[in-house]
Amino acid sequence: MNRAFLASLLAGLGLLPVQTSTFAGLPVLPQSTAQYSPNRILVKFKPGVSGPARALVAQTYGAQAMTALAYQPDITVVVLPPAQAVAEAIRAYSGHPSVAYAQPDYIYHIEAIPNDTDYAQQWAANNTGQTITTGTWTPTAGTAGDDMSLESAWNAQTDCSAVTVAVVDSGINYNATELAGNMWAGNARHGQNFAADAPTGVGSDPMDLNGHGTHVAGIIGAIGNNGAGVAGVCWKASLMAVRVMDASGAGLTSTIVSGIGYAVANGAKIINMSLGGNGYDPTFDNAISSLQTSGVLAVVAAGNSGWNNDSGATPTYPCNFTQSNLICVAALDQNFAHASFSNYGATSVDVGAPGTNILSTYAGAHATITDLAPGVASTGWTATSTTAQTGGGWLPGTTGVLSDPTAGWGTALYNAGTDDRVYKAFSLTGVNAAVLDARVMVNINSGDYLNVNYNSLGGDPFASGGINAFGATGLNLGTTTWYAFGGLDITPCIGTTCTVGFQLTSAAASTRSYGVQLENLTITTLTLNNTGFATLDGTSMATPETTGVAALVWAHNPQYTYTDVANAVKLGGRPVTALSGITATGNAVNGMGSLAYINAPTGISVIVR
Amino acid sequence: MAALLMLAAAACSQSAAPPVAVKPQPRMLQPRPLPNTAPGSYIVKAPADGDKSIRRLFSEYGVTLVRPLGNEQFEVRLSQDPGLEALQRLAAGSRGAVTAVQPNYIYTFH
Repeated sequence: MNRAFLASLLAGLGLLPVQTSTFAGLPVLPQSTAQYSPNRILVKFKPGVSGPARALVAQTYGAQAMTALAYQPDITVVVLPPAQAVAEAIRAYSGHPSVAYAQPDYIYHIEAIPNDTDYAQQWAANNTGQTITTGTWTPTAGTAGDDMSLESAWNAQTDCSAVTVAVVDSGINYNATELAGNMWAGNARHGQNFAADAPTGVGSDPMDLNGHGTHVAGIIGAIGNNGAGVAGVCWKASLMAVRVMDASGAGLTSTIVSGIGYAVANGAKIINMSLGGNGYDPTFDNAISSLQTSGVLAVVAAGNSGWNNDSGATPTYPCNFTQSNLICVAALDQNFAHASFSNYGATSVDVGAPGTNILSTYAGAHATITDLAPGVASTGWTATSTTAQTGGGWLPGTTGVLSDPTAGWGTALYNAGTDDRVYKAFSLTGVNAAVLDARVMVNINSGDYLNVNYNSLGGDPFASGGINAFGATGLNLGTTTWYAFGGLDITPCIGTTCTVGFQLTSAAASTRSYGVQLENLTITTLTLNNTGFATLDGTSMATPETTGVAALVWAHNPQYTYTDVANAVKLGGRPVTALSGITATGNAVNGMGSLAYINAPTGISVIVR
Repeated sequence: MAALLMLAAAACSQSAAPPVAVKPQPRMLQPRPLPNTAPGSYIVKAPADGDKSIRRLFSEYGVTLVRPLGNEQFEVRLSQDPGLEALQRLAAGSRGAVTAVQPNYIYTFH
C-alpha cells in the first residue's frame, strides 16, 4: 500500500479531512486528524442582525462568499480566503459583537453499520458498553470503544469472498441461513469430512455435528447486512468446511493434517484452527511449514487453560509452533482485559482478540437426557448376570457391581468368571448427533473389564450387533478410580430403540474387587436447524475474529503475501495494557488498523552514482 | 475417538498390583485426566514401499489400518498396542523402511 493509496483510503473513510495537499505529485498527509472542512466555517449571527450587516461582517474578514443555510436562516456558511485557517477565522468571527458563535463545518460520514437484527449484541465489532443479554462470562457489559473497529474497516472492505478461508473444525452447518450464501462452492458439500467417525471415501459430509465449527464460521463470515441474525467480520465470504473433529469435539493429528492438506489443495488462503493439544507433534509442525510454500496463513487458538504457553511445562500446539505463517490468538473480555481462561505467552502468543460472550451462528439445538445422578434412583434398566451374586445392589443378589447409585458400594465382591450387564433403552429420535457422558467409580482387578456398548437395534447391546464405545477390548482401570468419560460419540445409535449398556467381565481366576458404580449418565443430543445462534467464550472465538480481519486485509490487498497479511494483523493492532508482556505484540486485533497498516516495501534497490 | 481415549487409560493403569480388594471411598477421588494420544494409533513415516513396509514391520501387532497422509507419512492402527517405544525400536532396526513413529495426538476445541 503506498502513501497516496493510504491517503485516499483514509479520506474516503472520513477518518481524515477530505482534502489533502500534494507536492511534486507526492501526497502529504494532513497533520491534523480533525474532521472538518478546511475552507469554510459556520457562523451564527445574533437575532436581529440583518443580511447586509452579516455581509459587512464577512467582508471585514475577507470572506470569499457567504450563504444562509436553507431552513436554518440564522446560520451562515462562510467561505474563507485561501490564507485564512479555520481556527483563525473562528477566533475572529467569535469576537465580533454581531456573532453569537462560530464553529467548524464538521465532516460527517456514514459508518458502515450492518442492519443485521442482532448486530447490537456484537460487541467485538462495535463496543458501546452494551450488555450482552445472552452472555454468561462476567463482565457482560464492557467499555465503549474496546472493539476491533470493524465499522471503520467496513467502510473500506466487507467482501472477503476472493479469499477462501478453511474452517478446520467440527464442520459447518452449511445450510444455516446466515452461512449458506457464503460457503465455498468448490463442491456440493462445501468441503470434506476427515474426522475419525467419517466414512471412508471421497464426498464424506462435513456437516457440523457438534456446533463449534458453525460458531467459528459465523464469526468469520456470517452474511452481513442482510437484515437478519449477525454480521461476520466478512459480510461476504468463501467458507470451506473441513471437518476434522467428531461430534464429541475430538480430533487427531491424522485427521487434522489430512484436513490441512485438503484445504491447501483446494485453494484456501487462510486456515482457522480453534483447537489445540499438549504434545509436540512433528507431523502437525511440518504441515504448518508446508503451508508456506503455498502462501497460506494459519490462525490458531492460544488455549483455554489460563496458563503460560511459554512455560516449558505447558506448551500448547499448534500455538507454540514457530512458523512465520502462524498467528496465535489470546482472548480479551469486553473491557479488553485478558480473559482469565485464556492462555498467554510473550513468545508464543501473538495478539489478543475478543473472546468472551461472542454471539454467532450455531449448528442446531442441544438437549440433554440425564438418567443417573448422585442420590437419584433410575428405573427401566435391565440387568443380567451369568453368575449368582450375593448381597444388595442393582442386580438381584449382587453387591457393588454395576450398582444403583443410591445403593452405594456394597460389602461383597463381584464373582470371578462373571459377565454382569445392565442396559436401558433411550429414544434418540429427531436428532442428528448424540454423545454419551458418564462418571463411574471403578474398582476392578487386572484382567477384568468394563465395557460400554450401544446398539441402535435395541435389546442387549452386548449381544450381536452391539458396538463397544471403548473399542474392541474394553476398559480396565484397575483399582479404585473415579473416571469421567470425556464424551463417547454414540451418533450411530440414533433411533427409537437405542440401548446403552455397561458390562463387567471378570476372569475365571480373578481375585475380584468391588466392581463398578455408575454415578452420572447423560446423553447430549444435537438437532440441526438452520437458524441457530449461541453465545460462547474461548480463544476458539478470538481466533476467527482474527481470521476474519486477516481475510479483510487480504481481500483488500490481493497482492499481499502471507507475511504482509500477518504483519498487518499483528502490527496493525491496538496496543492494550492487558496484553503487554504476555503476548509478542501487546496488540489487540483491529480491523481498521490492520487495513491501514503499511507494510515496509521489499525488493527496492538503491543505486549510488 | 472417545473409545480410543479410554483404551489409553486402560493401558496406563494395568499393573502387577497385588490382587487385594480395597473398599473405595468414592467421593474423595478426582477424575483421572484424559490421555492426549490415541492408543493403538500412530503416525509412521515410511519413505519406500510405505504400506507394505509398515504391514510387514508391525505385523505381530495386528495392523488394522494403513492410511496415507502425504509426505511419505501414514496413519497406522494396531489391534494390539505395544506402545510407542516398542514401535520406535522396530523402526530403528528396519534399515530405513520406517524412519519415524510418533503418537497420533488428540486435539480438542480451544
